[in-house]
Amino acid sequence: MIRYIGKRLLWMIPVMLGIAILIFSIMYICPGDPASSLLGPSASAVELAAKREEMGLNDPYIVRLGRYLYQTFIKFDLGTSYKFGTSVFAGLMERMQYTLVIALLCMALQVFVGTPLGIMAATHHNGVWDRVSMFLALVGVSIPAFWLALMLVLIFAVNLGWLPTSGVSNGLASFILPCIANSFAGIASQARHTRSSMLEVIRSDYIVTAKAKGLSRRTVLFKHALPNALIPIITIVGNGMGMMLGGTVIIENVFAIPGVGRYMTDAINSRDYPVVMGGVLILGLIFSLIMLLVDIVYAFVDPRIKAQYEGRKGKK
Amino acid sequence: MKKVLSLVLALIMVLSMASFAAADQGASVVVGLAGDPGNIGPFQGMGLGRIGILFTTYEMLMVKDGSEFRGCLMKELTQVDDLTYDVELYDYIVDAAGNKLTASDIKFCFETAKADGNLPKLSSVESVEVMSDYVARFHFTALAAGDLESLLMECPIVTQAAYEASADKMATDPVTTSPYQVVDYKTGSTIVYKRNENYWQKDELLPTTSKHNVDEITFKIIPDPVQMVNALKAKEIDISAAIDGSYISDFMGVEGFDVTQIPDNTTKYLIFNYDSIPSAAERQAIAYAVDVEDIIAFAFDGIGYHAKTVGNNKYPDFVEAWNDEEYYEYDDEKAQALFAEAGVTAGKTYRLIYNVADDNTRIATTIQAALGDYGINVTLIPYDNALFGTYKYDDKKSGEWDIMLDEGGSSNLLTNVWKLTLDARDQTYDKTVGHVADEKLQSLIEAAINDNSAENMDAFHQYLKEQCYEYGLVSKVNNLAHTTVVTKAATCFRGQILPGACEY
Amino acid sequence: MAMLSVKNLTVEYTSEGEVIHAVNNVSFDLEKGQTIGLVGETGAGKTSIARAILRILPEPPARVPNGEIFFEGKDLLKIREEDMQKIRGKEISMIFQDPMTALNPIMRVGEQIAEVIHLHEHCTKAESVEEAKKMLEMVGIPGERYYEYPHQFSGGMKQRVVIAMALACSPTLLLADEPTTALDVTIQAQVLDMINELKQKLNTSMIMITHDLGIVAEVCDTVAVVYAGEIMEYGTKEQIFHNPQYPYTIGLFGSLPDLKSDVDRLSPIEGLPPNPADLPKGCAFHPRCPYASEECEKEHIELKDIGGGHLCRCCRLREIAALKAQEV
Repeated sequence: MIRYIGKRLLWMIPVMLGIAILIFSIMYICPGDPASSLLGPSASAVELAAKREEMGLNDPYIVRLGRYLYQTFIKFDLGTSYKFGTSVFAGLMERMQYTLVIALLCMALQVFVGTPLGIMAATHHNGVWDRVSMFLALVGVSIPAFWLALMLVLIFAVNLGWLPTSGVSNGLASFILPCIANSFAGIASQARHTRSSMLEVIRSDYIVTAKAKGLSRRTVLFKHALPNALIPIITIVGNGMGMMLGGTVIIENVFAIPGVGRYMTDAINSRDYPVVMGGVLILGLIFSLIMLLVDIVYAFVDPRIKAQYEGRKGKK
Repeated sequence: MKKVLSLVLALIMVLSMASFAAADQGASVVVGLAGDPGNIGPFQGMGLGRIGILFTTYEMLMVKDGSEFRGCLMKELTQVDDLTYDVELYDYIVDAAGNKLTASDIKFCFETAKADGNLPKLSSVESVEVMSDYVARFHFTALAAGDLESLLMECPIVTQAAYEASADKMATDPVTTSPYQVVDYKTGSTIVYKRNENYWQKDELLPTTSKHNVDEITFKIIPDPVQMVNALKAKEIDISAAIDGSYISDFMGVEGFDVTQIPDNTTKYLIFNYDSIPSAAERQAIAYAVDVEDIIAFAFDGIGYHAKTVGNNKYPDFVEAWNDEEYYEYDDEKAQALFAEAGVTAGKTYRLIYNVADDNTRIATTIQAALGDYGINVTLIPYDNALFGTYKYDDKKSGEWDIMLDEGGSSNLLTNVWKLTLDARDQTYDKTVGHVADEKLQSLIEAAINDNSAENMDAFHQYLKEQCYEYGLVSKVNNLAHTTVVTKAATCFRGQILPGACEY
Repeated sequence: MAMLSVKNLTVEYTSEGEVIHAVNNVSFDLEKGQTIGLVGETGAGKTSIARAILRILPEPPARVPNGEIFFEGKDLLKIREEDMQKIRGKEISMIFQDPMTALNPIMRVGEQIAEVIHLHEHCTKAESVEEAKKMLEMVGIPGERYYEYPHQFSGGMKQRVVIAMALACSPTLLLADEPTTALDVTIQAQVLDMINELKQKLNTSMIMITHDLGIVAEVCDTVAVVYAGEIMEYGTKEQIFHNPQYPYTIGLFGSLPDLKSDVDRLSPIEGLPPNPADLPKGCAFHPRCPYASEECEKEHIELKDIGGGHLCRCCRLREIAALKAQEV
């Protein structure tokens, strides 16, 4: 198991390198540059050209790539943001706090609301509860997050005044509406996946065996069916978590949350290269780590997978 | 299930009560800001977010108070010769860290700003010489009319000691001579300023930009325009100059709110590509075909003015007489006649490029509809901010557009607005942004830049109007709304809120 | 009174509007300590009978519109679910057909046995673990393997685990649903021997569901031949093996390849089993019966006692006997 983890960690190095080269090349090919964002709309062409020269944006591809790779992988310096003037790494970490809170809360909502919904739908297959929760799931997936967000703000913040309209200045209360708006689709998809996984598992032979042993319905459901049903869900949760840590741009824009999503998209819009590249790299790293974590959790939950990782010592 | 729900609701209510403990209203104000200032160091380039906080954070040698320039850090200005001026500082200026401001700090600031290259106007400043503790001598390379005051306002001033003491070149924690100092900057979210009790200037001598009527100022960055409106309605912000026109009526005449309309610095205008539309008649036809009132109604909810030139009419060198002139007001007959004269028939296509930020999409679609009435197709080509900035001046892109929707403003003179796009010397290919290489146009604009007398201004204006190389559309107006916490709003010449100068 | 008495059991499945008649009015008895073999082709309804007894039919598609299953005097179809749960695994337990999927893949093998022990016997967790290990030993698996997972066992060993699980609480009645079908022949013999041994040790009654007459011969005391959800012939092993009467039964024996003679082709029964959604009128076997006549499709035939408790559902026995005498 340790060897497996070690191998995976080693693999991350070429992955990071690949990401770096890829994102650098993409930003290089992309038209537009940071000069006009830095100098503002009233700069003249001559001034913009001079700025570009000063920033080294006219150097050839290989030179710039080399410079970037050296700075990132040898000196471990992600650089300074053109727009903010602060260290990219520090900026990302600062923004990550907010994104992390939202991601964790949304994940919790997704798992603790979506999973029971899915289980109930599966155990009442084709019954009223199944149809109702699948309808709700459909609605949840179809509602655009920003519309829902603004509706929630209108009702709870503007009209009732219970919660703030935006920003992060009100402690935990600032995160309630963003998380609800953001997790709707996640809850819906979690319910649907749980339901289909459960339906599959419930038809399995070992569930019949469990019933034949005289176990109560509850025990059969929660001790035998659910753990097996949740195995594929682990990947979905891991994936979802990874993506949420990349920042949910729409929610962050609507609720004025200074998270990673806004940081990255603002950077892309103003061609803030260090932020874009550093951000993608860090997010890539985090995502790889989460995937590794998911695979490790898999091994603990499903002994067949663990045997795979350890290399077939099991069969006798 | 019900129990859990009611517990959750109770929790929400408790949390919101606890976190809504409001600060003492009279002592603080919250300003809604639409743009993100980013790096708030002194020598950074201008940007939409930055203009919102610039005068609260920094003081300059001179500032523009209303429509007049006056000294802020500068006590007296003496001319030595055409290109040399002496600036005398007040001798009791102290920044918030206790450093005294001297002439060597002035030299430091201007030179550092020049070296950083983000304030390109400063190329007109050749050097700054320290004459004595409080006198700095400025040597300029060239000075067009009105440039002097602009240049002295261009560079925010800090003490060298404070600048060097900062770990990140004051990107997040500037220490300045301003009456307000940054105490907390959550990038992308809020900037909190507290009044400096040891501010150096006497109350009677304060320019508007340095007034300090409130203890604490918080700028809240709210990128979504609808949320800005919601925040004001919920009284989470006290004042904002970025209220979307379609919602401003929600605050007019409503108990607890006041609305003011502030003319914005910028004007929207069309630039015609001479390479694809060489015929003056065609350009004039387009100008007549577009009904600017429609644009004002659709894109600005009726709030704004039809420009009378490429620039608004608040500049000192704007000639009053132009207000009464005709300026291609919508005229269907003339448009048809001119299109015919130019040989433009139904099925013709124009490509309209523009910066996709804010209201441009609405303006573009209005133009598209207007020209559609003549059977002309308009292909809309929006670009994002960064790309538009690049393509605007890119000669190689000339073959890809026919009409450009642009906007511009200046801090002092109309000629500087014209200069942005109509002075061939400023572009890299010796033509205007619209690819016009017209000697007469060039000589007229150079004359007006050198000496913005009414005659020179008028000469250029009439020729430009006749040739219609560019066509001014709408002079923007900002909607400013505030709660009754603010009894009287105050703004800088760019239409941005000066929280310290508001009355409470 | 018999330990188990099934009376007029009917099981239907509803699928896409069609009604599938899986079990049609089946009745039989089983004495304590005895083994009855339910023999028939796949799809004859044997598994449904067993699952109906344990009440583990998949209830949404399956229905038990009528019938009674008396077990030690109680009608299992009428008692409450909670009481049925007390019986499952303890009084009546089941061995399933496919050992590969019968065990929970993410739960330790020993735990799955201990689970049923802990549930039914009043003992501590630790005691149930010990008991489980003993059960494993009893089926020939080392006790240390308690902690291993199903994927670490071969098919035959998995089936032994299933058997251990089924016998852990010394049930009165064991339902074995084709327990060796999925195993190869050598293992089959081992598993059968084990079942027999345990059966004798614990005096368990058994219902052995199979399509293999060889197994019937080894293990069963009485035999019921099931076709299209009905019992067509019933009798002691001797009666059925030495004197099969029902044409289908005869056909079954006839289709067994004879090791001694030299034949080119197998002699299966002509035709296919009927569609359970659309059963033939009268005798369900008549479309395939070489001795069928008009009489056979007129009305439903009842079981008749043809001597010494040997029951048969054919209406043309005398005619068939006469025909056979002629052939010879």
